Amino acid sequence: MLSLKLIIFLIIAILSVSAFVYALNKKIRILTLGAKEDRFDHPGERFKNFVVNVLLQGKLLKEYYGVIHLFIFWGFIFICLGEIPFMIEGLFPSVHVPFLGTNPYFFLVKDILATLVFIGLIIGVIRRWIVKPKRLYRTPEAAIIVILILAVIITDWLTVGAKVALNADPAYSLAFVYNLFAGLYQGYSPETLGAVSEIFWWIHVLILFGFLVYIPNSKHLHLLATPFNSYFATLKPAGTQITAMDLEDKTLTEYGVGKIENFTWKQLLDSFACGECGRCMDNCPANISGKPLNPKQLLSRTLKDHLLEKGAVMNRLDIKHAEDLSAEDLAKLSRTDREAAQTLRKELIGDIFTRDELWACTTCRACQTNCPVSNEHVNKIIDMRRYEVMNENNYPEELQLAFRNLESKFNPWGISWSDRAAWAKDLDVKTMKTAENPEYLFWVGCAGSFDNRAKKVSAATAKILKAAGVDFAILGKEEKCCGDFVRRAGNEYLFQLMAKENIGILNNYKVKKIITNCPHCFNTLKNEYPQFGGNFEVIHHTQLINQLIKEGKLKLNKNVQLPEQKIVYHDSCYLGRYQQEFDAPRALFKMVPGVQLMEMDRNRDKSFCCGAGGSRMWMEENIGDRINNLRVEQALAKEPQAIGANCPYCITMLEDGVKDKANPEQNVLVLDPAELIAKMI
Amino acid sequence: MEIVVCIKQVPDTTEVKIDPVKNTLIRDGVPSIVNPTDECAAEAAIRIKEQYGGKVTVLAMGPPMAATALRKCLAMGADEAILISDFAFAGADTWATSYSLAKAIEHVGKPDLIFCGKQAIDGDTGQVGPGIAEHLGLSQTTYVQKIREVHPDYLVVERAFEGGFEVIKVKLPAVITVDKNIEPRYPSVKGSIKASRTGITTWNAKDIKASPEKTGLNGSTTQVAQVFNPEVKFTSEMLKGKNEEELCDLLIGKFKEREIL
Repeated sequence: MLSLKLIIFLIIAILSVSAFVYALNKKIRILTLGAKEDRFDHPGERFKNFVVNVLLQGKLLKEYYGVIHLFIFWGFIFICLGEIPFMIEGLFPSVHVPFLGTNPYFFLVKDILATLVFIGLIIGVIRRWIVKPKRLYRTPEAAIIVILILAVIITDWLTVGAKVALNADPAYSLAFVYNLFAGLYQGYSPETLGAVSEIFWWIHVLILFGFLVYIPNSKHLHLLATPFNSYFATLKPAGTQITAMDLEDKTLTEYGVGKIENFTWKQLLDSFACGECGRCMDNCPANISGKPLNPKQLLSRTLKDHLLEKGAVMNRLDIKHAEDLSAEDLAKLSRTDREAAQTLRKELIGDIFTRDELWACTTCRACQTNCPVSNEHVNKIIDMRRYEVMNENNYPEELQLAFRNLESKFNPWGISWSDRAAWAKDLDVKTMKTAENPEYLFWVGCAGSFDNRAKKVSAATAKILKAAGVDFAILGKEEKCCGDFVRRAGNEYLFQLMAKENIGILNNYKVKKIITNCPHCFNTLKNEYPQFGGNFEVIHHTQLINQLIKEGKLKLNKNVQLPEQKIVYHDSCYLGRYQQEFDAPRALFKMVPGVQLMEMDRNRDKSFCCGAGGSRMWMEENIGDRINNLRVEQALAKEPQAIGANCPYCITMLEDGVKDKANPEQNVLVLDPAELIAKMI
Repeated sequence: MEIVVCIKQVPDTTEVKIDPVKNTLIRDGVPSIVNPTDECAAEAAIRIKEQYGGKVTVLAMGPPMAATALRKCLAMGADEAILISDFAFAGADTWATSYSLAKAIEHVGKPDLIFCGKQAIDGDTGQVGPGIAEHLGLSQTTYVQKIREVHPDYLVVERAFEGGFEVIKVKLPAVITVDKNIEPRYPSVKGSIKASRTGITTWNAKDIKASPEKTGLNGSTTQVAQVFNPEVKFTSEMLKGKNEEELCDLLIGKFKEREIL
C-alpha cells in the first residue's frame, strides 16, 4: 500500500516538475533571444536591492495595501517550507523532518502567516471583484491563482487538522489553526480521521503540483521572474538611464528597437516580472487623460504576448532574427510553420504597439518610480521612438518643425539664435566672453531665453544672483538647446550633435559649476553630458537660492508687503522624480511672508506631469483630455490663489490650463519661487 | 539620368545683423546654410533620380567648410559630392564662378541635367546658373517652379514670372535654375548619419584644368566696390488707442493731416 502511494506520488511529482521545467526553459530560451546587456556588475549593490525590494518588499510598501502582498509573499515562503514535512510525513508517517517537522514555533509562525495570507487574499478578492479599482484586471487568471492559493492553505489545514485530531503531536502544540481545525473534527472515529487526512493530503498534493505547472504558464510567472528582475534592476540614477548610442559605429545598421528581439534580455524580463498591480497606470498622465498608452498593458500584455508568440516561433524554427527567414526558407516550411512564420512578419510598432501609444508618453517616470518590481518603462519607449525617428523617418509632423528649428536656430521655438541674450539686455549680466573665469555659468536654456513668461524667471534669478554677490555669467549667443527634447523624441543623432557642441563650448571656457532654471536642462547637463565628456556640477536655481540664504549671502527683507496667498505646489517630473529634489522649491515658497503652501493629492513621487515632457511640448495633443488641464483641475481643487512650479515647461502648460479651466476673475497665477524671492530683495 | 546640382554655402542671412556703427554685416558666429533655392535644386534632382533612376552629384565651390553644405545634400539623398576648393578661385565674381563650375562639370563628365538654385541669398545676382549654361554651350531655363514631365531628351517645366508661369519644353542636356516652390525635404536621420560618413571629393583648379587667368579675382570682370546699408527714407509711428473706433479716428486724422484724404 505504502509503495503504491509512493509510486503514484512520484509519477505526479515527476510529471509536474518536468512540465514546470519545460515551460520555464521555454521562457528562458525566449529571453535569450534578447540583445546583450551587462547587468552582472556590482553584485553587492544588486543583492541589497534584492533584499530591500524582494525580501522586505520596500517598493510595495510605499502604498499601504502593499502590506497585503508582504503577508502573501512571506506566508507563501513559509507555506512552501511547511510542504517539506507535509509531503515527507504524508509519504513516510514514521519519519520526522528535523526542525521543520518538529519545532512548534515554526508551525506557530507558519499558522500566523498562513492566516494572514488567507485574510490578505480575501481582502484582495474584495478589492479586485467588489471595489473594482480601474488598475486591477478581473481576469480568469487572477481568479484561478487566488483559488489555488486558498485551496493550498485550506487543504493543508484540513489535512493536518485531522492528523492532530487523531494524534496530538507536540510539534503542533502552538499551531492554533491546526488545533482549531482539529476541534472541528470532534466526534470523528480514528478511521474516519485517517481517511479524511489521507484524502485531503492527496487533494493538497494535486493542487500544489497543478499550481507548480500553472506558475510559468500564467501571469504568475511574475513570482519566478521578479526576484531576478529586482536583482538585475538598473543601478543608474534616474536621470542617467538613457543609453548613449555609438553613432560612429559603422556596423550599426538599425537604430533603436523595431523588433521585440532587439530589446535586451533584461527589457524582456521586465514583461515577465510584471505582476499587473497597475501602480503604473494609476500614475500615468497619458493613461489617465485617455490616451491609448497604458504602461501596464504595454508590459504585461502588448510586449509579453508578442514576445511569447514570436519567441516561440523563432525558437521552434531555430532562428535568431526574424529577418533571417528568407522567402525560400519560408517555402520549405510545413503549412503550420508557414502560418506561424507570419507572426514573424508582424511589425512591433504599428501592428503590435500603435504609434498613438508610442508618442503619448511624456517620459514623466511616474510608472517606473512607482513600479514595485523595478521595471524600466521609459527606455523602451525611447528605444522604439529611436527606431521610428532614426530608422524609419516616421514621426509626428510637428516634431519635424522643432527638429528643423533646432538645427538652424539652435532652439525649438525657431527664434533667431542671435537674440538668445535679449532677455538680459538691460540687466547688466556678463557673458562668458567678457567675464573672467566666473565661479558659475548661468545656463539660461531655450525657454528662459525666448519664452516671454520664462524670461521673467530668468530675470528674477539674475536679480537674486546679483543681490547675493554670486560671480556668474551667461553664454549668450553661444548657448544652444541642451537637447533634452530631441533625445526623448528618439533623435539621438541631433541630441549628440547639440550635446557635443555645447560641451565643446563649456569645456573651452573651463566651466565647472552651472546654474539652471530649467529641470530639463538640469537633468541633461548634469546626468547626460558626462556620457560625452562634459562633467559639470549642476545646481537648480531653487537649490542655489536656498544655499545662498543659508550661508547668509542673500538677505531677504521679511517685512516686504506681499499679498496673502494660498499657493498649491506642483512638482515637476525632472526636478522631482528624476532628481529627487522635492524640498528646495517648497522651502523657498515657505519663506515668503503671507504664503500658505498647500499640497496637491498627487505630489512628490506621485506628482502628475504637466504634459510637456518627453518632447510632448512640441506636439499636438489631440487624443483624450489635455494633461495640463487635468493637472490644473487637481490644483484648483485646493482653491489656491496661485500654483507654484519650478520648470518653464510646467509654467507654460499650467498657465494654459488656468486659462482653460479657472475662473478668470480669480486670476490664478503660476509662479516660480524665484519670482517671489526676487520681490524680497 | 546623370544630374549635377550646383550649390553654394551662404551665411544664414535671416541671422545676419548690420553693425549700427560700422554699417557692415556682422558675420561673427553666423551659421552657414545651403543657399535655400539650391536646396530646392537638389530636391528637384533627387526626385527625378528617385523616379527615373540615375545619379545625383552635388557640386560646390568654396572653402573646405563648404563640405557641410554638400553633406546636407548627401543627407537628402544625393549620391556623390564634389568640392572645388583653391585659393585660385578666391574673389571670383559670377562670371569667374560660373567658368570654374563649368570646368568642374566637364571634369565630372557629360551630365544630362544641371540644376542650380535661381539665386543665392548673399549675392542675389541669379547669374551663375545662366553663366554655366553659357560656358558649356547648353540650353537653359530659369526660375523653374515645377517639373511637369521628364523624358530622355527633354523636360517640360513651368517657368515662373510675376503673376503667372509659362510652360517650356527644354532640350537636354540643359541647365535648370529652380525657385523655392520645389520644397526641399527634411533629411532623414539615417541619411544624415550616412552623409556624415561619406567622403567628399575635393578638386583644385589644376584638377579641373581651369585656366588661372579665368578663375578668381583674375577672371572676374566685376568687383564689389562698396557694401552699405540703405538709408531709411521713411519713419513709422505706432498709434495707440483704447478701441478700434478711437484708432480709426486717429488714423483718419493722420490721413487728413497729410492731405491723403
